Amino acid sequence: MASHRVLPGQPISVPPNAPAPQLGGGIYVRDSQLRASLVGEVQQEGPTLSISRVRPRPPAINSVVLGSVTRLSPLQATISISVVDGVPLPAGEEFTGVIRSQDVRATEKDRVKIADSFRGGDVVRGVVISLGDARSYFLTTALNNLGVIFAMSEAGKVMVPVSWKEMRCPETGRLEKRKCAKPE
Amino acid sequence: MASVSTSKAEVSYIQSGLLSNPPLRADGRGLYDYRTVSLETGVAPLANGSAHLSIGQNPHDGGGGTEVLAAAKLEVESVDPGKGEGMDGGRIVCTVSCSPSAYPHLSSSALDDLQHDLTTLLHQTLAHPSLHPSNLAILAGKNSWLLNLDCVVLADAGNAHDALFMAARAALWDCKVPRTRGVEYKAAAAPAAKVAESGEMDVDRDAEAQQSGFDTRSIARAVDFELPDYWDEGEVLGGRERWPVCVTLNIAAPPPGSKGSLVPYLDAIQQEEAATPLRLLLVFSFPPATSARLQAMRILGSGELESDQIRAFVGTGENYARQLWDALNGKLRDEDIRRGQRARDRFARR
Amino acid sequence: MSLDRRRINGPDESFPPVFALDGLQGTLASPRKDRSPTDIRPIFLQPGLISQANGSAYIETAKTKIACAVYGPRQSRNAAYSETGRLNVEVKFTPFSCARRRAPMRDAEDRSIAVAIHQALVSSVRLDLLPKSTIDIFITIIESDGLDGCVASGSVAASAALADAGIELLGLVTSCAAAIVGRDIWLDPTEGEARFSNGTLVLACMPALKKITSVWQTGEMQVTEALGCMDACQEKCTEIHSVVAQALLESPSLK
Repeated sequence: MASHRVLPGQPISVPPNAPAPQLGGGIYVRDSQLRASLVGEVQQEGPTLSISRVRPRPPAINSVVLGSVTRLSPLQATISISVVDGVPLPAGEEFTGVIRSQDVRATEKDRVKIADSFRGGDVVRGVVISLGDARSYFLTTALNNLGVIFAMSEAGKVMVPVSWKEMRCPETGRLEKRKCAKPE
Repeated sequence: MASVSTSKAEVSYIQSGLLSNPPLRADGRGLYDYRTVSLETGVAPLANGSAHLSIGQNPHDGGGGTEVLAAAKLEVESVDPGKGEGMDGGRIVCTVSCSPSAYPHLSSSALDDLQHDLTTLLHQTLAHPSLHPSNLAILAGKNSWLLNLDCVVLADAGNAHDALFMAARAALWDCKVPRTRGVEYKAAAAPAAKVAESGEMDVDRDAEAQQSGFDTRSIARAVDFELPDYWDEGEVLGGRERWPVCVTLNIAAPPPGSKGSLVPYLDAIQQEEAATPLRLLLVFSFPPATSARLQAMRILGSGELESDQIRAFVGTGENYARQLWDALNGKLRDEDIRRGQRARDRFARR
Repeated sequence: MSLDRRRINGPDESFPPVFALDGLQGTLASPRKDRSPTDIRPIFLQPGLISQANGSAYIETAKTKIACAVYGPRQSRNAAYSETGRLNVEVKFTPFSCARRRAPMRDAEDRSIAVAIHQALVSSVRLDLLPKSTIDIFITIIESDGLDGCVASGSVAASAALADAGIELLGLVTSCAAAIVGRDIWLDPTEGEARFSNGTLVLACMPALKKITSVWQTGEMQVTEALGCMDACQEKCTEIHSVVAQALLESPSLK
């Protein structure tokens, strides 16, 4: 595939006898003609054609998001999403997400206590499971690599995870309960 | 236009009905059938012209249709450039307001936007110089009539645009401009005539030659005007048969990916409007003895058309606009006769 | 009113002199002086001038100067859940954009232009990919030469800004205005030309797909004239499309 810039609406030619490519981002089909929908260069990765633009975008289902905890209630934690799929959003354009208590972890869902999983200000990595309601996206942390990735202790120090549900303050040595993400 | 909350199932039900062969609509009409339109003029006694129009009202209880009330009211306005926006020859200002009861699901700001969009469409179309009536002037350089056309959408059961334009046309057709007579000071006229004999008389003579014996308003030296009493309320607006009518072609598109042509249909009910977002608005005027005039054309809503499709739709629209035009004209003449008779009776009884 | 007979009295009323503005006289130079009826004014388009916006574009066609900024997609505030995104267009005139000063408040004309531009763009944006989100387009008219020109240039600038912002589009939208003067079609009319025309038409289309997204006609036209205007505009839109394409391909902000 020749790598040159295409414009929205421009037809993308594929070899006539090649198998139909899979569509990645930035490409659509209209009347069995592939067309670009972004300005950029067409890239081919295996069977997938795509045009990628690193631009902030709203969360979609299965997006990995980072956000900080803004509010806690016994039923859910509210997250202000500031990074979607590794792309930071502009300041002031955060999306609101919610982690309901049944989405915090995969096991013993009925025993989850939100207060033992998150605290205000924690930075959380989550995955979008639903577009949710008018106000917020629904997130889950029910995977090993999801959960709190950054938290401050009561003494004001950055804590280190010691297990999947505890973090330790390096200064006082006290343990605090969190649903931790597995460090990468 | 107003969007009622319509579920996906309803939307696809309505769309597949319209796209099937033969087309099916919920109320059993054909694609190009209007619902019953009823019209009454002269409903607002304090306005100079008014009309009440409803489309598709239930004949038993008079509910469940689109209802529009339009009224034209004249105001005397100074032409002085320093005072306001008055213009020599008069001007027209159209306003549309939508009753919140017609759109209970809209927030007040959305209602404002809707009102505003309808106002803009009506004003841009009707206040265009190409339709300007000839008799809105009172005294050249001094006073003129300001025609306020106010429309109220009382209920919306779909097709508010067509209803609005029909009601506006009826109200403007019905509008009577009070007769005015210029008042001048006679004493000043005599010396002026003498001066004319000695000097630059050509100009004055020409001006005098143009003055008609009947039309006292064109006397340039008139300083004020009076309203003579007469049995009717005045003369009709000049060129009143040119006020346009609107037909909205709602366009049902086949679902993406499937073959099939677009299906235009008229007089959508509110659910149909929600199911087919694309509309082509055509405002036609049919002056006698010439070809049809387009007074406005708009594409509304999301969707795409090809130029050949628009060409075909304009032809279709013109055809149905002419039918609507003829029907409306017939009704307006009947109303004129009915109201003229009533007014004469009332005047005789005084 | 008491008159002093001993003096020479001035007239009762007086009027400030009204100066005829350029091109706004009662008559119009016919045929056109500076270009042929099917010529449009030269277009200058530059995407990506406003750095804090997600995407932006500036367009200049002779006297018309418009800046456009695109923000978002961001989460729709105080709106019901919707499966498709929303496009929000806001138009502002600067107070010094017209011959008569405009008070810096939202007025009727702003909204009608915004509605026309929204109509031109809404079918070109792939809003189905952006549930619950809003794209905000802010258009500032720095100098205006007629409403029709503002709608046409504003649509072109906004579409270029959307492409600059990396928002997925079905195609670039270009737009062109036409006026019927006498029996002729004059493309891209100035304010004075539009005022003395029988009617004007603004067409917006996606030349890549050969689809028309908006027709905005006012005034009096015969059906054949209107269709003729549409064809002429569509042809010009293809030329404008190459200008937009050139500007986007050369834009440093997209490299």
